[in-house]
Amino acid sequence: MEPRVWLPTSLAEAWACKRTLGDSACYVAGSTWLQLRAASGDTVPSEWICVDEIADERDVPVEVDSTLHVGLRVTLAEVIRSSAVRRHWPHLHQVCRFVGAPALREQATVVGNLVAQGDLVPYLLVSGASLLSWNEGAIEEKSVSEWLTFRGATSDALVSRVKIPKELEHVRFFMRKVGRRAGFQPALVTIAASLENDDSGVIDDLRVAVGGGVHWPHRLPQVEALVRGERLRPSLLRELHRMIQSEMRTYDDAFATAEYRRVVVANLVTAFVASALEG
Amino acid sequence: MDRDQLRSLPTWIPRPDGWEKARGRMRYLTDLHHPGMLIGGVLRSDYPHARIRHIDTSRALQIPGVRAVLTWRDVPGLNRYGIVIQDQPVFCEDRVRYVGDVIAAVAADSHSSLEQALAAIQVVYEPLPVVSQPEEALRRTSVKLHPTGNLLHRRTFSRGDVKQGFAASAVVVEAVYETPRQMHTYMETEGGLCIPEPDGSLTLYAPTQHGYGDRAQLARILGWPEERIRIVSSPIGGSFGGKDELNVQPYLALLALSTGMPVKIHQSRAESVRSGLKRHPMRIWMRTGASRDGRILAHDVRIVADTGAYATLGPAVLDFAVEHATGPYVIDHVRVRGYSVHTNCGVAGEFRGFGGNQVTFALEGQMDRLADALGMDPLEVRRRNFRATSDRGPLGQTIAPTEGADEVLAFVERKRAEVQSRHAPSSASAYHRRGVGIAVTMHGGGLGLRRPDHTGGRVRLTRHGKIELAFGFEECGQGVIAAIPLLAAEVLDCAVEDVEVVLGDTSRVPRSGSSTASRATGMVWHTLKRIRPDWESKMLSIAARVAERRESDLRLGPGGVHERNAGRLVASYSDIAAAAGDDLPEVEIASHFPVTPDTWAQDGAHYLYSFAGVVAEVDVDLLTAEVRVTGLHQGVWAGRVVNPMGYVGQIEGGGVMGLGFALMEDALMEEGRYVTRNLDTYLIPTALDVPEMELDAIIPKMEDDHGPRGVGEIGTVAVAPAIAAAIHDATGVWITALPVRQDVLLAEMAKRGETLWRWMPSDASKEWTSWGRERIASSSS
Ligand SMILES: Cc1cc2nc3c(=O)[nH]c(=O)nc-3n(C[C@H](O)[C@H](O)[C@H](O)COP(=O)(O)OP(=O)(O)OC[C@H]3O[C@@H](n4cnc5c(N)ncnc54)[C@H](O)[C@@H]3O)c2cc1C
Repeated sequence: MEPRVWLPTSLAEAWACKRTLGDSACYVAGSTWLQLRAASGDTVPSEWICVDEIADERDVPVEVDSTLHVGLRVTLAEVIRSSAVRRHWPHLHQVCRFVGAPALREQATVVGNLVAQGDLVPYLLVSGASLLSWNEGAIEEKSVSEWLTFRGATSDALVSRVKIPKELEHVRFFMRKVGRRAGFQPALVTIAASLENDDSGVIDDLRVAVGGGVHWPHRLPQVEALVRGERLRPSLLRELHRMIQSEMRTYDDAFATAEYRRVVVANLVTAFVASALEG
Repeated sequence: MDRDQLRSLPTWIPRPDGWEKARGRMRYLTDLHHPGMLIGGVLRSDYPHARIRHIDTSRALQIPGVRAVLTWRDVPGLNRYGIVIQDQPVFCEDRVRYVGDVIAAVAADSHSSLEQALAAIQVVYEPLPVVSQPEEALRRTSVKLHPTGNLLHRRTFSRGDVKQGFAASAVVVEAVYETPRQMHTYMETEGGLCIPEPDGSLTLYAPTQHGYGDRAQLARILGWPEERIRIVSSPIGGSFGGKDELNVQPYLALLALSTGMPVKIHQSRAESVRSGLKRHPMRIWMRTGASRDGRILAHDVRIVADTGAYATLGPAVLDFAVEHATGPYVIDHVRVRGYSVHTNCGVAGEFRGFGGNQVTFALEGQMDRLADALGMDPLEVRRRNFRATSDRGPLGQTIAPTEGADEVLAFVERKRAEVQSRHAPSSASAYHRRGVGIAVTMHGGGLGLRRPDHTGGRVRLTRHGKIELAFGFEECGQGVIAAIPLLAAEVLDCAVEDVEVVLGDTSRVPRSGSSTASRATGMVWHTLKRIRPDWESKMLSIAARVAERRESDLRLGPGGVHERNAGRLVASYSDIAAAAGDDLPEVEIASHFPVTPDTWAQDGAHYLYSFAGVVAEVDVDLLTAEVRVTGLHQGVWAGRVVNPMGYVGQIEGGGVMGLGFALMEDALMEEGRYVTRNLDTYLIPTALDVPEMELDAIIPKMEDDHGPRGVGEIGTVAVAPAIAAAIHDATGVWITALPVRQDVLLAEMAKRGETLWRWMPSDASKEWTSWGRERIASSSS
């Protein structure tokens, strides 16, 4: 069935529209995720509240005080094309290219990817990104991880913007999407990690996030705590490898075992940590 | 000849349909619209196996815009189809055997009426136990899918005494190989348009590999004479064997007939996955014994093919696999037992390679394991057992003598050395390992002995002075449309520009059999050779009149008839056409693809073979077991190169298809239902997965009179075993199941002690106790 399309012109109007129509409606950005679901035979809401006409939101990412503001209409292609992103958010640039293929990225948005829990989310979790959403007549700001945890209760909230702090030069990043072919595919698992250490080799901060596929994207706080303030040593690496496997929440499917996903994340993150501290 | 040499040939011409296709401008038959046409669709089974208790279409018929709802009661002729055995219901009466089985068909004014009607048809099922494993289907206690049981076909072959051979063997290797349910994944999904004509006939525009074949099948279903049906079948958006059998044509015809209106059906990708043919998954057990010096003494093989719910070409595919179970190797003691078994897992049928890909994966795997057991170079083991030029074929039959085996092995030896010298081991990073693998194959062309392997064609001069060549097989993307003018120019001595090709319309072409089994190019050549004498004498006799010369002073040439000696054009083809008036020269012949003279040989035994040798390079990410094929090089011996661009296209395209078969493609099923229901989970290689590919088209030193062999399949056949061998080279893990699963490979590597800790760069892993501080101190200085 063809959906009915609504074209509100403000955040308030869009939100009111959703509140009125309830579960039969959803917000629609690039619609690529929704179409994918419909093509897989899932039922998708029949009323589409399209964000295309909402005023005040830009079509390109904007840098404001060392933070990248990505509005609800900004496509992955626009992020990839942005020279600010290439300069100061090189890993965001990299993860945007994890998603689909070029034609798809012209249509798919960052916000849509975030809400659909796509391949960008592990990066957003690690980078300390936050988002603005319109709910009950007010704009709220939440960290991405907080929002992921509480979104169930505020399902009418309209995400208007994602704010991503500049990638600091002394922080090392690691991004990887593991799949079954070289590109344009669902992830078996998507990983993001960042590492900060002081001059003496003590780890100040490790962040690890796992997502992609049908993972509920999440950080690994125990793993992160394990190495905080520690100096790297072989036994620590082994403990890290073990703890990643025990802490991460994952699944079996027809294409790979949960065990595989655990070992792969542990291997990649451990190798990253080891090599980052090597120099 | 490598690619550059092929490019420099004068016959390197772009295919006529290439540009349109590459730009997405080609109008396929499923793009056709007809004013006032209805939209058709079918209702497929909810269950992989069930009894139908009741079908009620009354509510569907009441939906506005619905023009017809048909079930088995509405089939005037035979409610069954199948190229060889008619066992597949057009509409199921009382039982469904796979999720693609059809219960009803609807024609409506719009998509939405169609969808509502399909949803409103009520079917009461009584689910039956699902037979999802062939081995289980063979048990006496299993539910029987057909009155004759679950064994569709059995084929055996033996020579010598394997017991004796194994007793004499110094080493014996044994493994079970499993291959995937690969999908053809043609770009254009099934569909077409059917128009009832005022004279009571039907014209069906629907892509197929065999217009006349479809016509005969449809005539049987409609209870009509064949002549009342016209099939237009070109252009086609890919097939690879998948559109040789009927798909939606019966519903198009029946709906058009019952409504008296044009009807179009075009399947979605999801429906194509659910209903379409797939490659036979095979489970192949092989036990092979050899002497210390590497001579194979015994080879014992058991093949179980999952043929799914209905027969289609299942028996022939199994026969092919059995025939190719020894490949190019000469072995004294052989036993091959093959079983093609019905299950509720879709329907398997014809697919590029025709059973050869599966059995070659196993056979070449055995060769590598033998080499390993003997401590011998895999290439040397192959060489020691290779057939000689005049050896008999794998079933003991006489075959056309061929030096192909030696030639492709020489290619493999050369290319492997070159590739290995390029791989300085130091160039790979700590967590990547490279490997190189080889494989060879020998592949029969044509359908084989005692199969209806008709060829034939027609040449005629048109009123406008063009030489029109008409054949009954199809251009199904393989590029024969470009090859025909080239062959005509060569055999009939005309120019490429003199030729017009007619294919894909039963009202305009003679019977030539199907575009299958790598036969089209060869057929054109054979047909033209046989047409030539008659054609020449007809043309020269008219030209002699026009030019007032003796026939013996004339010859055929580009643009027209020339003086035999001086070479001057004396009568253009238009002159000849004008002079001929209504009696335009025309020659039509029907013949048969060449077969072995040994009539005692098994059904399907081949006479003409082509060969390929493959060198594959892989890079394995040790942390994730992701495998990237970085090089895929093929040496192909298939007779002369007719259409160089087509040749390169077939080998490269076939190579990528083989790569998909090796690494990612599998239509997964659980309990008879597809898990991979669309192209988001059924993955085929993309441009990013395509490796460096080099090609050597090996031209026979001495040409026989059997012409070019056709290269439609050979480029897919030996790719997977070469990739598997390369993975073994990189990781030490033997691959037994395709596609290679990363989780399995990673686990197997771990069993061999290949874990992160072993690969960490040595400077990071040494002296673990003091390492941390020192490393950092030294790196910050
Ligand atoms: C062929 C194909 C390949 C794909 N490959 C990938 C891939 O590799 N990796 C990947 O991560 N994804 C992939 N996707 C999924 C999808 O394209 C991406 O996640 C994309 O970024 C979604 O963005 P969109 O703008 O199209 O979202 P939409 O489909 O418009 O929306 C996605 C979800 O977000 C909600 N939403 C949209 N805007 C808002 C808003 N402002 N506030 C609140 N909720 C909102 C929608 O209601 C919906 O639930 C693929 C999809 C297709 C069709």
